[in-house]
This record gives sequence, structure tokens and C-alpha cells, in this order.
Amino acid sequence: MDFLRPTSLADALSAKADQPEAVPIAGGTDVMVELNFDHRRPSALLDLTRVPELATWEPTADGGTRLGAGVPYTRIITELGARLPGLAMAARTVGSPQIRNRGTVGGNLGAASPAGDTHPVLLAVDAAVELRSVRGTRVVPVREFYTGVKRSVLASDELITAVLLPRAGGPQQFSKVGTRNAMVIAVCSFGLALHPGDGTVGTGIGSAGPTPLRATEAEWFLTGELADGDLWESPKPLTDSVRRRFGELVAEAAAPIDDVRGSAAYRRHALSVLARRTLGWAWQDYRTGGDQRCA
Amino acid sequence: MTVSPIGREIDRVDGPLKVTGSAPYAADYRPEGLVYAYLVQATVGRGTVRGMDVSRAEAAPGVIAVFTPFHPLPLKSPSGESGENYSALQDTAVRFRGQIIGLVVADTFERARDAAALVSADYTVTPSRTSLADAGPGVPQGLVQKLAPGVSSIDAALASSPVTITTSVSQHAHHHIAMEPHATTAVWVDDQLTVYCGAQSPQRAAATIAARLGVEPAKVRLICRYTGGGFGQRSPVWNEALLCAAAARALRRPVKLVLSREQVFTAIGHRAAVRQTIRLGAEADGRLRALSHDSDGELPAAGGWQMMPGRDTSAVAYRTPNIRIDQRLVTLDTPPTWSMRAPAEAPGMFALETAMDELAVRTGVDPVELRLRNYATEDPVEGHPFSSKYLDECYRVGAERFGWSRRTALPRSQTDGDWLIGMGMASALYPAWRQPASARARFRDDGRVAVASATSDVGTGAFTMLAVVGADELGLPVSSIAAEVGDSALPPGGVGAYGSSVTTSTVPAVQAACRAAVKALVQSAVDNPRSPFAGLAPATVRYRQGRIEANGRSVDFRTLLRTMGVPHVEAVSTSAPDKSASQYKFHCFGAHFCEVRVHRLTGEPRVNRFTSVFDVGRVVNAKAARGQLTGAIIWGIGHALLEADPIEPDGRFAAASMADYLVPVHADTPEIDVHWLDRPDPHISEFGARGLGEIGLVSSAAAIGNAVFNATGIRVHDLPITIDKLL
Amino acid sequence: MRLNVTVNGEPRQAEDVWPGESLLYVLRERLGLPGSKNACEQGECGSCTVYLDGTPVCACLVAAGQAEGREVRTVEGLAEGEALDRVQQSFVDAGAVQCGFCTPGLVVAAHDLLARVPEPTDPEIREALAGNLCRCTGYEKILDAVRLAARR
Repeated sequence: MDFLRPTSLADALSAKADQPEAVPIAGGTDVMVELNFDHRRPSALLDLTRVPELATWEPTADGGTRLGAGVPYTRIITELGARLPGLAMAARTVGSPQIRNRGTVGGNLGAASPAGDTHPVLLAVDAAVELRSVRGTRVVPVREFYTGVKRSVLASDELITAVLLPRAGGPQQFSKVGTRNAMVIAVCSFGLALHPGDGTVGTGIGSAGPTPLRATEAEWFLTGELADGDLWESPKPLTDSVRRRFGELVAEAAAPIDDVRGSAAYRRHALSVLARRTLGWAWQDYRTGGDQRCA
Repeated sequence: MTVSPIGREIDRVDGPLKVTGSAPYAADYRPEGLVYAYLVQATVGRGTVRGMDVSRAEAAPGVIAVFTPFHPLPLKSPSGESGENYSALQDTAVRFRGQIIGLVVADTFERARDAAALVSADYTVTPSRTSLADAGPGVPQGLVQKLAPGVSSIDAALASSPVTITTSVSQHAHHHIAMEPHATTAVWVDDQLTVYCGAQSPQRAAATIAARLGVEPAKVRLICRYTGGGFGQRSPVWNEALLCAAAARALRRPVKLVLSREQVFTAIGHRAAVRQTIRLGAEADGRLRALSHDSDGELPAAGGWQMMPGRDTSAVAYRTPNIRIDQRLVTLDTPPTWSMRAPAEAPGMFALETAMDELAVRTGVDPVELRLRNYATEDPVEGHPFSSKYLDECYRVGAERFGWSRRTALPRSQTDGDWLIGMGMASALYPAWRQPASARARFRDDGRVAVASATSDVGTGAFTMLAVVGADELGLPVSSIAAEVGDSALPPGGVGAYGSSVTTSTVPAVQAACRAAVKALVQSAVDNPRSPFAGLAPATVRYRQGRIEANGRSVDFRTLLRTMGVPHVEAVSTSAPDKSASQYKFHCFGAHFCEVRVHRLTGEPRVNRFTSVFDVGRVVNAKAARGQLTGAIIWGIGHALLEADPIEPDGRFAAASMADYLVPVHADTPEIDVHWLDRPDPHISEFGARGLGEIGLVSSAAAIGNAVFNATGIRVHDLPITIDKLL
Repeated sequence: MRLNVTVNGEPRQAEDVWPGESLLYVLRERLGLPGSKNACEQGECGSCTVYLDGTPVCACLVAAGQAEGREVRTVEGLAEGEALDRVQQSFVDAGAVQCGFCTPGLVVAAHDLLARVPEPTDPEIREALAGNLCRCTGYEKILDAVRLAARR
């Protein structure tokens, strides 16, 4: 097995072009498990922990954030809690401190597991994934990134180099249900972002389908309700029926299965609860603190 | 005057080594010339290995040998001992998915593992029996029955009872999850084998290894000074350790075999899946007329521990004129089963105490009062009185400390925001077991006394127990005692670390050995011509707190030994239960009180707090006792809410990794108030300790389940109590 | 490949390292430092927790090659000579050690917590140590040990 240790992005990209079968490794929280269990024996590992370009984040011209794919969760929590509130919430629920010290959003995307904790938020905020190869750079909306169970549009010569997250124009929430109080793979999870700027909302569902999912009908429904009631301008409390309907539509968008962590029926039910709950929190946040946040 | 350390908060003597990472466990040894082994496991659930292709593995870099049923390592068949009923690689039968069908040895671990993946096997596959529900009912294994005069059957007794309860519960396979995965390092020097391998009973394990390798028992030494947890899974010797020792013999060099965590799930026994039905017949005021306990336990075709959950629970717990315990075993093609902490008592008492809670609900009698109304002062089947039983005091003290009087019997009547709050209780019992045991006490000329017994400290505190009891007996500080366990070469007669019996059995042996060693020291002092006490009558010489005294002279034993030119004086003693013990029933008792919260909308159950009060006889070390009891109570959270490994129709465990088989983590642990009564058992031994390693787990799951019912009105009978069952 | 890594302040070298092996394996089998324990190989149990460039990580999830040129501090490197570190001493004093297999990882994780948060609350302790499984103690005394160490 080769161990490739590039120290610049250019070197990393040319290494990946030369050996497309090389498996990128950053925090190792997925790749090393496969190696330790001997489930996978790649011909080469491509270590990305020495590529400085991947380990930084910076503001973008439109007020958003370009998050290097190799920034560990711990730094997202400590450095980006205000800029990326939903992502930081999701990052806090990942594994343990040891895992958060190593694991990265790039790794979460690379693995593309439907249970990955950051996907629902990335979907909800309409993030984009920056993919690079020696052929060039392309930016793929995360909503088009996942193609199947643990599959994505990532080409074999490409690396995930960054995630582009729009400015948080409104409240964001993430919630997950698990069987333990910590160190738990989500039974199901839900991310929500309110976008007062264009009057839309974004959603993301985790662990309840072959890929992370959007609840498009739920987004349209809520967008319509907020517009019809002129609620962005004069934010009244949401009615129970709106919250309930939103929850139902989120549950309907899921495509869960029964497994050892929970039944499909439970997942649908819990998603409706998570959707109602996060909407309640986010809307409350918008009504009371939204102005300051947007300022 | 030295203050006795008995019952005080004593620091673990092995603590400093463990916090610095310098205590060696089985996988930590690296003898010269070491090579590494890796298992090949069957990938079908049942059948025959038709052939194996090892050519790619043998050609792989660093590979030294590949052993298979077609090129086996010789092992004798097991004889008599329970556990796996076959020796690996001796035939081509596949008894369960994950059975060992090969062993690859290479110069590094990675190379052995990689080569193992290159071994392929062809199978003839036959259908597996994997479902307890579908394969039952099982074969009865010893009926326990007592009927009142004139009662024709338990069914008749139940039918004539004013109130009847029928409760069926089930649980899947459980895994011990001792933190240390099984590991063996085997070293032959000429014809003498030393095995470094975690073991709960070093002498029994060494004897098993000798018998299976076909060598004299004296040729095998097993060392397990530090062992990363036992919980039952290290009481037998499994095929993996035998193969490691056999490979080291065949290759004439040390071999280390460390199982991956995934392999531990199948190569090492699990707690059997079990289904149980309790039927209670009672008066309207809750007094029992009849108790029936039926069970179907998984018994693998490959052998294993027999799951008999009624015998030490329902046949002992309550006063009732009619009892029937019918325990059946169902043969399945699953990995071997083995005893796991409170092996039968944890599932058995979950069933009984769930049913008792249902009876309390039905009769409207408070759960504590219900248990007092059915309080047994003697074994309800055989009629022997309990040696010492203060369970009523456990109920009273526990209820008081917990605030049981604040509970409302009506479910869903207490809330905290979106959380439903519930309280539940359950009683615990576990047999107390004193075995014959031996110990050695040795006065050494370095000023310390070595106290040894060939038992094992699997985290239980046996090292410290020896030090505390030795210090107490000899009037010395605990730091003056050098405790030794975990070595089969220690004097014969060490007891295994199972059945909560080490302290109960070994304390009397240590006391006897210390007394005999003092006698030997005095004898030596009067016999040895260089001794200042030479020629005195032994009766005129006395030992006091490490000093030998006579005629106004007082010499510490270190000085005495050095003066005499004797490096040490020792005695080995054996202590066994008194004959009169057979008239009593020996049990430990306890009462758990638990508060839970269940989320109204998502069904998430969480444990808020526990109060548990125990009657376990005399306690040697309060610090160790609290750790053992608390740790066991937390196992109840796993039992009730988390732990389950269903077996799929193809014989595969559904949750064979630590990401899927969930045990409680730090963030799950509630406030725990553990308390014990200080009531030495007058009949079990002069010292009066009854053992406490397992009782904390017994019924803590039932207390949680009963509290969940009180919170939600939902009774979950099929464990674990997961979120989807609480909506 | 050859691996150069500084362990507990000493520059160390390991030869013939297979690039896919873990830092844990290198420490245990190649550098003679078996204090860090191998218990799950998937980052679920924390028994192998070590500092990597000052950050606590699961050594089983670090590829050997990723440690090249880095600084590693293991449980063997916490005590100053004979004197135990305050966290180690507190684990002994509080009775937080039983079988001891999870202890090395827990000690490192607790050591890091107190370096970051000198006076942690109970929820902070529970959360910080959530990735370190213990099957013996029921965690209560581990909580006591960290509180005790924080006071020292």
C-alpha cells in the first residue's frame, strides 16, 4: 500500500489524478474503521491532513463562508458557532470529543452515509460542495451531491476541497433522536433553515432514506403559509395546524426502513416531531431575536 | 493500635499501575521471537466445509503457517466441562456463522490479518435454526415444583386464585463487552507452556488448556494478573486460546492472538436469548397463592451455558404455597452461549418483578407493600431458613432515601414539561456461594507480607481484598501487604471469579493462612538458633502487629527473619464451608428504586436517578463495593433500554460491533444512591461476607421498566425498551 | 515505510511500518508502549486516547503515516517521574479504576478536559468523557475523580 502525503493542494490533486484509486483520509473516522476491520484494502491512502488549503475557512464576498473540507468539527463549534449556527449544532452531536477533534465535513460528504450528522443542515442551508481535480473546479449544490446509499457525484480523480455555505440570514436548527445521550448514530435527524431574505425555508432529513433528503413539499407548504399570512413582516406565533402539517409533510418526504436502531414507522413519527419542534424553536428565534441576528 | 481497614474506603492497590498504563494485560506481552495469529471464521450459518483454498494466503508476505480442518492443529475433544462442545479445526462441520475454521500465523499482525482475508472456503450449506420463537418449545431441564396438599396442579392453583396475572417477556442475546478483547500470548520453553490470557479462574483455565493440548497439568502456567473485565466471558477457555497455544507448540515460537472486537461477538459466548412467561395467582389483597415461571432459553448446537432463569429467582423470592418452575432449552445454530453477570438472575428477575408490578397495579396494592405481604423468611420450595435476610429493611431504607412516598400510582400523572416522569421499584436477590478456597501468607524479609490466592482480579478488587483482610488479620497497614492473584502457579485451590464468590470464599482462607503463618513464624522464632527467641516455648511467644514478643523483647518480623537468615516464613491454608451450612439458604438481597423520564412526543426514555439498598453481609472495602454495585446497576440501564443483538435468519448477529451494540455511556448515567446494610451473615463464615459483584444488576432493569410503566402507562415486555415501543 | 514520531518527548523511529496500520498499533507493537489500549478499533470506546500534537484523538483512527513528524503523548507520558499526574492520582483516590482497561484512555481524556476547562460542571464532564466507555464502574467514581482532580 502506498501512503501519499501531499503538502499542498496542487500536489494532492495531481496525486489523485495519478492514482484515482487512492483513498483520501483526513480524520480517519470512517476510513480507518474500514481498514481496521479489513473491510477495505486500498492500494493507496492519500493523507489530506498536511494540505493547508483544506484546513482553513474564510468569509466569501457575498457574506457566506467557504469551509475547507478538512476543518475538524471541534473548530466548527468553537470558531463558527455564530456564522454557521446549524452546522455547529450538528457538529456538537457528532461522536465524542476525540471524534470531533478529527472528523470533518469533507469526510462526512465523502462517506455520504445517510446517517452523517451534517447532511441535514447542509441541505437546509442549500450549501454547495467544491470539487477539484487537475481538470478544474466544479461547484455542486449539495442537493445534487448525493446519488445513492453512500454514493455521490464525486469523480475518482476529484477531491472534496470545500463546502460553500450561504450567509445565515435567519435562524437555523438541527435536532436528532438517538438511543443514548451521546455517542450515538442518529435514528433520524432533521435540519431546518429559515431564509427571511427571500421568504423561503430549507429542510434536510437524515437517517431516513437511502440518501440525505429534502422535504420539498414541506418547504413549499411553509413558504406559502408564511407568505400568505405576511408572517415574515409581522411574525405572529405559528398555528398548531401549520406546525402539524409541516411535520406531516416532512415525515411523508422520508423513505425510512426498519433496522436495529428503529422502525420505519417510528422514524416517520419522530421526524414529524423533530420538524414541529425545530420549526417552533426557529420561529420563536425569528420572532424574538431574528432582527439582531440579521443585522 | 492499628485501626482495622475492614469496611473502610480503601484505595485499590493495583490503581497506580493501571493509571500509568504499566499494568500488563494479555496482549501487552512481547516475548522474543513473537509471531501473530489471526482467525478465519465461517461465513455460513450451518453446514460443512467442503474445501479451502489457502494457496494465496500461504504465498502472502510474512506468512508462516495456515491451519485449517484440512491441516489442523491437534486438540483433544472437550470432556465434561460445559462450554463449547467441540475443538476447532478437528472436523469440517460448521455449527454457526463465525465458527473458527482457520488460523493464519505471520510475522506481523497486519500480515496475518491480510493473509486471513485471502483464505477462501467452499461450503455445503444446510438451513440454520436461529429463531427462538420458531424453533421452540424447548426440551425441559429439571422441573421445580411444590404444590400445597390437595392441589392437583399449578394450573388448578392459578385457576382458583381470585386474581391472576400472565406476563410474557423476551430478550435477545446480550454481550459481555468486557473492555479487553480476548487475547492470548503463548510461550513454550522446552515442554513448559506459559499462557498470558485473561481468565477468571487461572487454575481451572490452565488445567483445561493442559487437557486439551494433551500435556501434563504441571506443564501449563497461566498468568492473568491484569484482566480487562470478565463478567463471565473469561470463565471458560475458548477455542481461540487453545489454538494459539497449539500454534505456538507447532511452530516452536511464541504466538500472540488478539481477537478483533467484531470477532469477540461470535468466537466468545454471549448471554442466551430467552423468552419467559410468569403466571401469578393471588388473593385480592395481593398475597400469592401460586407462581409459575416458564422459560425457553437458547442453547447452541455448538454448546454453551444453560439458561435457567427461574431456579434461583422465582423459586426463592416470595412466600407462596404453590410453585412451578419449568425451564426449557431450545437448540439453535447460533454462536455459543455463556454466563454473563447475574446470568440467569437478571433475566429471571426482570420477568418476575415485571409480573409483580402488574399484580400491584391490578390489586391496587403499593409495590413495596405487595412485596412485604409476600415476604419469605425461608426458601419457599425446600423450606430452609435464609441464613440472614434483611430485605424488609432494604425496602424501608430505600423507600425513605428515594422518597417513594411521593410517587403516584396512576400512570402519566407526573410531568416535567414534555417529559413524563415515573417511579418504579423492584427487589433483587442473588445466591451467596462459598466454595472451598486456599490462600498463602508469607512473611518476607523485606518487611512485607505476601498474601496470595490463585483467583483473579477482573476489576472486582480481589488484590485489594487480600491486602485488606491480610492487614486486618495481621495488624499491619494495608501497604505492608503484597497481594498476589492471577497466576495458576500460586498454591492450588484458588476460586474462580464467578458467582460473586471470591470474597465470600477467600476471606476465610486468607484469615486461616495468616493465622497459620503467624504460628509458623513463632515456631521458626523458637526453633532457629540465631533467633533471639530460640529455645522458648511457643506458647510464651506472641505475635502482635508485625512484631514477635516474649520476655520483654519485641522484634519486628523483618529484623527477625534477617537475624535468622530466613528469607521468608509462610503457610498455606484451605477453608471450606461448615457442615451446618447445609441447613440454610444463602442469598443476598436488595431493593431498587428508580425514577425515569420519557419524552411525550419522541418516546425517548432516560433514567433520572436510582436508589438501591443491599443486604450483602459484611463488606470488606467500601470503595470497591460501591464501584461494583454502581457498575452493576448501570448494566441494568443497558439491559432495560439498550442492549440487544438479534440473530438474523442467516445466523448473523445484527449488531456485532460497538457502534451497533450499545452499552451505557457516561452521559447516560443518572444520580445513583447506593447503600448497604451492615449485617454480617452469621452462618456463611466467621467473617460474614456474602458477595456483591452481581446483585446490583439483578432487577435494576425491572425497576426501570416499572418506572417506565408508571410514567407512560405502557408496559414493554420485549426488551430493550426502545423509543418506538413508547409511542 | 519508516516512521518518525516524537513520543512523550522522545524522538522515536519505527521501521517497516505498513501505512494502513494505526498509530495505536505502532505505539503498542513497534514502540513498546502498550499503555494505550485496543478495545474496539472504531473510535467507539476511547481506550486508545492519546494526544496528537496536543489534541486528544483515538489512536486507532490515526493512520500511522499521518503521525509522521508529529508529537504524541500517551498515558505513559503523563506522570512526572514517580509522581503521578493529579488526574492519575485522583483516579486512584476516587476509586475510579476497576479492571483498568479503559483507564489509560479516560485519564488522557480527563487530563485534556481539565487543561481546557479547569472547573468543569458535571454535564461538561459527562459530555467530555462520553467517548470513553467503561463497563465496570458505572462512571460515578470517574465523575468523582475528575471533580477531585479539578480541585487539586
